[in-house]
Amino acid sequence: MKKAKILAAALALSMSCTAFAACGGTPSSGSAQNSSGSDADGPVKLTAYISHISDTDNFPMPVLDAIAEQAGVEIEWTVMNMGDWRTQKSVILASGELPDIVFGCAMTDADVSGGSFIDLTPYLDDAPNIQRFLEENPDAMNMAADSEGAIYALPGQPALRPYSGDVLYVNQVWLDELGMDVPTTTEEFFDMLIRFRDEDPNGNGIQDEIGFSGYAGGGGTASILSTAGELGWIFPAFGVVMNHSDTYCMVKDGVPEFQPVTDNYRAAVEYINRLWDENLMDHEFWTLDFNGCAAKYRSDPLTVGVGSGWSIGTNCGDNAQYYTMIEPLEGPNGDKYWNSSDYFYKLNDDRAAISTSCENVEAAVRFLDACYDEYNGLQLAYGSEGVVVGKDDDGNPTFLETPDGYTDDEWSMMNSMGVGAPTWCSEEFEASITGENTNLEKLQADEFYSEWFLEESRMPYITYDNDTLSELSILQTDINEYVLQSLATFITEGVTDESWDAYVKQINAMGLDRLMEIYTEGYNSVA
Amino acid sequence: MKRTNTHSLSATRRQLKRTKQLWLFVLPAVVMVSIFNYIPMYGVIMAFEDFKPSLGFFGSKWVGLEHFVRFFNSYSSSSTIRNTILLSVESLLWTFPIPIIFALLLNQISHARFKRAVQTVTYMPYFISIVVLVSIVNLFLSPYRGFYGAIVSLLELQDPIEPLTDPAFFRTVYIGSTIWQTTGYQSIIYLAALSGVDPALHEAAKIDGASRWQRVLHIDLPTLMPTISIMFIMACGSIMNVGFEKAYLLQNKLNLNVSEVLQTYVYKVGLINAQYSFSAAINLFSTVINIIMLLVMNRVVKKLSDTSLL
Repeated sequence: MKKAKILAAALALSMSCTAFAACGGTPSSGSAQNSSGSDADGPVKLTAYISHISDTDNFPMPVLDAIAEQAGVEIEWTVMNMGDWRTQKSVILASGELPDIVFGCAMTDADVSGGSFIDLTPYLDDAPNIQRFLEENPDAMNMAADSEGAIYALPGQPALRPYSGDVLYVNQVWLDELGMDVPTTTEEFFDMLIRFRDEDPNGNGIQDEIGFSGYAGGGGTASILSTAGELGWIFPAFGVVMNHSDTYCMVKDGVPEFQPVTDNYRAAVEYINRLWDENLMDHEFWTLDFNGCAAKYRSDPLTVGVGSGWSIGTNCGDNAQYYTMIEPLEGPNGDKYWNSSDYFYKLNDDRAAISTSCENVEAAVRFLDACYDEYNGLQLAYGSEGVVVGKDDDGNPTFLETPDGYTDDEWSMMNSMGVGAPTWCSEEFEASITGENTNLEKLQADEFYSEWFLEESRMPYITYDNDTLSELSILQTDINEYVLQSLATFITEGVTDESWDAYVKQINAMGLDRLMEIYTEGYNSVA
Repeated sequence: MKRTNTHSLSATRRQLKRTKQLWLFVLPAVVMVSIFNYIPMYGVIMAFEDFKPSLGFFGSKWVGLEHFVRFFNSYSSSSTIRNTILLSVESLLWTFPIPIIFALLLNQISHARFKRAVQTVTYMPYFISIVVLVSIVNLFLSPYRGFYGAIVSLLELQDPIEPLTDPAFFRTVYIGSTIWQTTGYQSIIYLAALSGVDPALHEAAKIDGASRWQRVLHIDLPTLMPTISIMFIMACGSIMNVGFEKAYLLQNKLNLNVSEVLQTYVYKVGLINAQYSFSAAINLFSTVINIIMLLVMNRVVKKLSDTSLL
């Protein structure tokens, strides 16, 4: 027995030693090359993780090579599948063994403040593009710097990103069939859905018309209130403009106000409950995911009257031609607004960081700075020169034609890092972009809705220190999940005074006061 | 049983010599388990510190029981623990006996090809991934489409039961689909044990006029008893572990008050928000419960049937 133990222990020890040696070996041998490899001996060698939609297809991208050449570096890329990264990053970051640069991989403040990455502020003087980006965009600076002013990771602000995430559209064919005008108020909207339901506008003799559909299913974290809101478009009509913020707050007279306990919010929920009870809202709403929902919009004959989403095309595919984008609805108190955010779609936090194990930080900074060159940035976000973007006769950046068989978005995603890329572009540069592309169309829709943005109500992006973050993470998860869970119950079962009071009481008991204290302090530190 | 120390030592040595080859057989397993299960166990200390990856296990700040206190003070702790235990105990009550009954029934079939066919058909679903399984369940049980939807529209039910969103049905759906998926696979081990029954016993019982039922009760079941005990003890040892993927995938806003279990809560609070220490603390808590359950059940079963794991 003892012998076996010793033998096992010895074997285990020797095996684990080799394992450690192997792990420790690669980076150190790599960094030895780094330190010796000065610019005179050719390009500096760096290692990096990069996030990409697929593992190896269409990789490396020509633009990455071009940028590396401009910066005089050579990078050994390890491709992280965009979907896998989300689930693996905790483990990868916790392992403490990182390449020189983590590039374009989605991280959070908590991830980057763990001490695995260096503070970039001392290097900014040698990075003119990054410096210009941060100086011209207070939001970006605010997002980049932590509570002590250190910058552990750079945000990205790719070209052609909107302020608002959704468009609202109705079935024009059905409106024409029934001889109706586009609804402008919530009550007209309600009446329209009733007629859609009862008068068989698709003419197949079956009552299969769905008023509006959406999806709250597909994973537990999608927030139907705040992000690409499947119900987000209804709330502003009742004066609840949460602007895609996961704080569920809107700023009123310079003070953040938690919306889900207000009377306005209750009025909105009661309205949605009416839609539910009258069977005007898809009863599969809670279990559908995006694909299930999109299938309904793409059906033949048409079965859905109203929808909301990133663009009509993304939801409806070939049926897009039958739908028309409409203005926000006006609520009972004359409220007519649209959710918008300075950062939610435009800025991505923590998109590029240099790890503490990097031995040639200057070279890594040089590379990152080249990524924040505007034309390079456009290519990183949408596709390399000659593949997706190019220059027109006047020398302006332009989108090339997308090959048959792909949508613009698919083609871009395949050939670029997508909009999560660490890049930046100015408004002037953005205005000079020509060509035809869905991203340019999205900006037009954004422009259309901009009339109803309520800018002063936007919660700004707030950076918290570590202790607050860990407190916030529990409070916010508890309260937000409870809000969404109750929203679902209210919509399907209705709101009574008792259930509403119990709900408000419960949220207070869960620590709403403390949560609002954190939000208000954070707001004051930024505003 | 009492021996002097020297005696027992030399006896052990003698026995070791005799069973040298057997020890060699065990060696790879011992090495594997110690490398992958024991050595990484030092990581649990992160539940007691404010873990920062860059500072490592030995450099991070020691905070003692802070994360545990935070968890038990948080609003969701009691409901998630309750949901976890209810789901798990209810699962055990259903998914544990059914494979045994199934194995006993299957064992009665004398037509060999039919028996094999049934076995294959029933254990097939085990190899479907959870994600696909949940998609199947979603399609199957939607009142608007699929199998259940067809019944609903055929009978023209008003206000049909919605198993996917009604909190009252979450556990039913969860457990029902588990039974469908795992019964065949779980029964393999019992079938193997049953194949060890001496046919002479059955012959003798038949001659004595025992009915089929009596033979199952007095021959097959007693043969299975040790296997059942061990399987039961092991199942009790993972009472706090609910299949994360399945609970998470079957979750929606309407059934959240019963479907939020420890594992999904840890994922939302801990891993998404990078609260590693907090997640480790919750997991350590459920592991401790598991160990306690394992030991208690082991003791109970030992008392009752004289078989035990330890």
